[in-house]
Amino acid sequence: MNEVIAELHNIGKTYHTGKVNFEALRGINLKIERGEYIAILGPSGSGKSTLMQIIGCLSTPTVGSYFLAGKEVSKLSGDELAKIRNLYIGFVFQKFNLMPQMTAVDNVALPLVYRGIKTEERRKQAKDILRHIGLGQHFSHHANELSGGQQQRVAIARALVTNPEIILADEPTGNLDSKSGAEIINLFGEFNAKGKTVIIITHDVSMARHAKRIIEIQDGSISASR
Amino acid sequence: MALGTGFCERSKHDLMDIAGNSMAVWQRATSKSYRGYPKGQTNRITIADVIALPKVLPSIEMVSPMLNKSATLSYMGKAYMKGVWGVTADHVKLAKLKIATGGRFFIQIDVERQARVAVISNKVKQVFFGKNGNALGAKFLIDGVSFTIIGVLADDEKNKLDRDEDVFISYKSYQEMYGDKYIEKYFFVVTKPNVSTMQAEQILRSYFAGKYNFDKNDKEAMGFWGSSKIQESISWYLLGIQIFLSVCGMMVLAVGSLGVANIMFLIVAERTYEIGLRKAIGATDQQIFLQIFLEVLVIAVVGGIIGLASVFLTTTFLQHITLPAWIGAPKLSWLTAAIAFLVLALIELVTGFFPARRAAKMDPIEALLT
Ligand SMILES: Nc1ncnc2c1ncn2[C@@H]1O[C@H](COP(=O)(O)OP(=O)(O)OP(=O)(O)O)[C@@H](O)[C@H]1O
Ligand SMILES: [Mg+2]
Repeated sequence: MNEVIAELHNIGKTYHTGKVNFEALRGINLKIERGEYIAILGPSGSGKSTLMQIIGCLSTPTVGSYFLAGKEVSKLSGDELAKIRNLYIGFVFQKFNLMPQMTAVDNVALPLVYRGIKTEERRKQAKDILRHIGLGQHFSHHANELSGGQQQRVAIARALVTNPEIILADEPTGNLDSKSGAEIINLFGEFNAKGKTVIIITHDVSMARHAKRIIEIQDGSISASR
Repeated sequence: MALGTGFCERSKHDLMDIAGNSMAVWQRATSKSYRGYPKGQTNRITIADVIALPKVLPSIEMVSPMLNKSATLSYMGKAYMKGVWGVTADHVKLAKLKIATGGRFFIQIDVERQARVAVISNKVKQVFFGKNGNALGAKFLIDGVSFTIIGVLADDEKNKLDRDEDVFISYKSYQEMYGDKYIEKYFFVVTKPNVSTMQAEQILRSYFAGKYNFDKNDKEAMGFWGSSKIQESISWYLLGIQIFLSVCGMMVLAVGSLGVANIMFLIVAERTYEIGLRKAIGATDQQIFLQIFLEVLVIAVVGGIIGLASVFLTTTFLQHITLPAWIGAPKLSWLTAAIAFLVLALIELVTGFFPARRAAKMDPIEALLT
């Protein structure tokens, strides 16, 4: 069996809006091994994004414990979580979330800023990755000048530039046509083939088929895992 | 505020030119009985008393008796009624008169020889000799007595103030013509530079009290209107104006700061998304804080420089166009500029600090969702 990269113990997340408490996640137990390719499936509002935020250290669980790369991270401060995100996680969001006024290269290089890498080196690494995913012609295009598929590939390049342990993608093809979506899925497959852990959130069953493990979520709990 | 400073300097300047450390002195009825003299006495100071003052009182620099009456001036058949002054040779210094080039004011020897010489105002000169005519050396009549014109007041703003109608002759000629013995109205004294007009009041009052038998503590017996009183009252008035203009300036600063604060908040609000994204990919609170704070600082410094530059340009511009003289040339005092700069810098630091801190504390998820 491979090394466990992430381990969730009895994780629960409750949102407080006004006087209403909403239990978005409850009793989540999950072990993720290095190099796994996981799809998290579930209907809208079931808690998929919430789970991704916790795995990605964007938020902390209300209850339970979470070990990432052997370290308990569920009670860390905002700054410590920011460092862990920068070190271990690459995010790909449904809305691409690029900096519209920055060039493709600068967008990809952005996470390296927070690693204190020099501008020249950052640009070089960003260009290498962009070239690798077929955007060699678009280095100095601003993000808002690129097509949806191209933007999402830039976002993936940005997620990969730090060489993270885990790539977390929240509905990465939700805003794309099927052809662009397929290209994106191919990219994930490729990186998984290099031994990286990939976790994709989707409610598209056909996309989930590419994953080696499918976890289904319903009403904040894991209802099936196969 | 630059306007305020300029205005005050100009007004003080005007004041100094009229007054220096001079003082008008006149006699009044006594208000206290003294050594058998009942109160209500009016002691008549003679012209000779006044002329003697610089010799007998070391604190007095110079005097002028300010004898004055209306006289008929005539030249080549034209006749006008004008004011004639009988004054000392020192009057030119005392009143800071400016004489047009070529002419002069009468001097002590002229006074002693009772020379029939006169200095006339530019207005009087124009009446008799026209705008470009030459008055110097000409003889004209004052109440039928012939005088030679030796000087004309310069066509200067200061001379225009209240001397348009005037002709100056020596007090001796005046006395000879009109037979005056007493000071009818008032006389002027100028104190030595180290003696204030306040001190001079005491000295003059005691001196005349000894001479004319009244109580030297009788403050009613003599009237004084001195430059220190004027300066004091005018200083308050000028201070008032400067406070007013400063308050205006402060209000401009306050409105400006609100603008700055508003922009700072907008910078953060507009960039919620960017900040959230940066945090999601690993920026720490401190890194975000520094980024926003530095940007605010750069904006503040650039804004400050542009602001100072435009103030400097406006002030220079105003200095080069003709403003009404009483406003004075606006003066950009470095103190004003420094205070404005410091106040704005402080406000910008504060208004930069809070948005930057707010940005740093932002939850990346919420920032990304918006
Ligand atoms: N910040 C929040 N405050 C309050 N409630 C929230 C918050 N974020 C999510 N929720 C609620 O938690 C539940 C789960 O949300 P989540 O975004 O995890 O669902 P999801 O499975 O990702 O849905 P979708 O497929 O629509 O993206 C939803 O009912 C949502 O309204
Ligand atoms: Mg979601």
